[in-house]
Amino acid sequence: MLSPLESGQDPLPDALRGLLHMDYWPSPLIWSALVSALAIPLGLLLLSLAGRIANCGTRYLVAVAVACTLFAIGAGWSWQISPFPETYFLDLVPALCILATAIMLFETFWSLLAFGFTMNILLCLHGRPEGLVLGELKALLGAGQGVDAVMANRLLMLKKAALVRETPAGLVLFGAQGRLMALVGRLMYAVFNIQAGVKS
Amino acid sequence: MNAILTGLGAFAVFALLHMALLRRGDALRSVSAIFALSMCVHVLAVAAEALLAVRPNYWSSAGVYWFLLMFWVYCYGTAYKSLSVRMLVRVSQEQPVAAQTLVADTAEGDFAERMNTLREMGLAEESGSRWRLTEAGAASAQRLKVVQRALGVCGSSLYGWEETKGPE
Repeated sequence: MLSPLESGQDPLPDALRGLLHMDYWPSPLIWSALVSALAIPLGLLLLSLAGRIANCGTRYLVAVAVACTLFAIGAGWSWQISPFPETYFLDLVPALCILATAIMLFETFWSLLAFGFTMNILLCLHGRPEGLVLGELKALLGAGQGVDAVMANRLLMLKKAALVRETPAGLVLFGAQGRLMALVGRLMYAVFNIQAGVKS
Repeated sequence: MNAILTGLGAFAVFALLHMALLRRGDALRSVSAIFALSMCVHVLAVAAEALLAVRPNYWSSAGVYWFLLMFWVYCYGTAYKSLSVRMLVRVSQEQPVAAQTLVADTAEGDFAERMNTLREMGLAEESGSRWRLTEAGAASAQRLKVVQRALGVCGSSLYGWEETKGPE
């Protein structure tokens, strides 16, 4: 029996041949998105070296603003050199998606690094080979303000974002935005099969 | 346009599989499980596109897929770990709830949960009444400190920490 090569048949399955012939080279617009995405961590590094912005949240927003500006410049340049305007607009959606992916990805790492509660516990235990009892550890969290201060800080954020408000009877949701965000939270718990409420 | 639809279709398959896996046990909640599943779906989607599309282009479908996937993971991480979301949901379930009670309950419940997470990850251990880092935990903390120092992050876990002095 003849092998596929000897019989003149293509030995590769169609899917594999398709994979090999797929166009993997990014278009100029996709390149703009990829380079702008890399500008986020680079921007964070440069901003920390400059030391002008102390607040980590503001620093991230500035890095994102720089990345978006770079993307806008890159998109303009891509438009200038694009031979087919119709493919430019088809590339615009994936390019914006790539930039948005990078913004979310780096934000996840950045918030873990700057505001992560578990990270904070890990760092408080670091350099203490004798260990800590839970009371000592709780007191060290939140830059020495204690675990209650960390939680009060999160609550303050909810109040500042106008999602909850304090009444004489206690905390209640604030307006339509509070109800909407709480609904989104409960929906996420349901979708991801997470037990709602505080675990004790 | 077909590439965008391929990306959407691949994400829909991932989301359905992920939701099904989450209902089968806690072992499938890890980041590595999500990553493995997302890569399998991605490779299959790219192969399907390569087979069916006339002029297949990797980035057109991949960009859409990775965006939707990242959004999904972002929501998952927020729902799973965010203290603020947990507080917000609690307020919506029990309003009105006293601020002191909410702060104390979240502190107690989440602190215990995170200590368990560190123990399960092999980063911390409890002996007697004291908690200390394992060798792996100390190495992770050391790396974390280096990165934080390089990026000028204090890592206090507080947003604008100077404004908060305790439960209001």
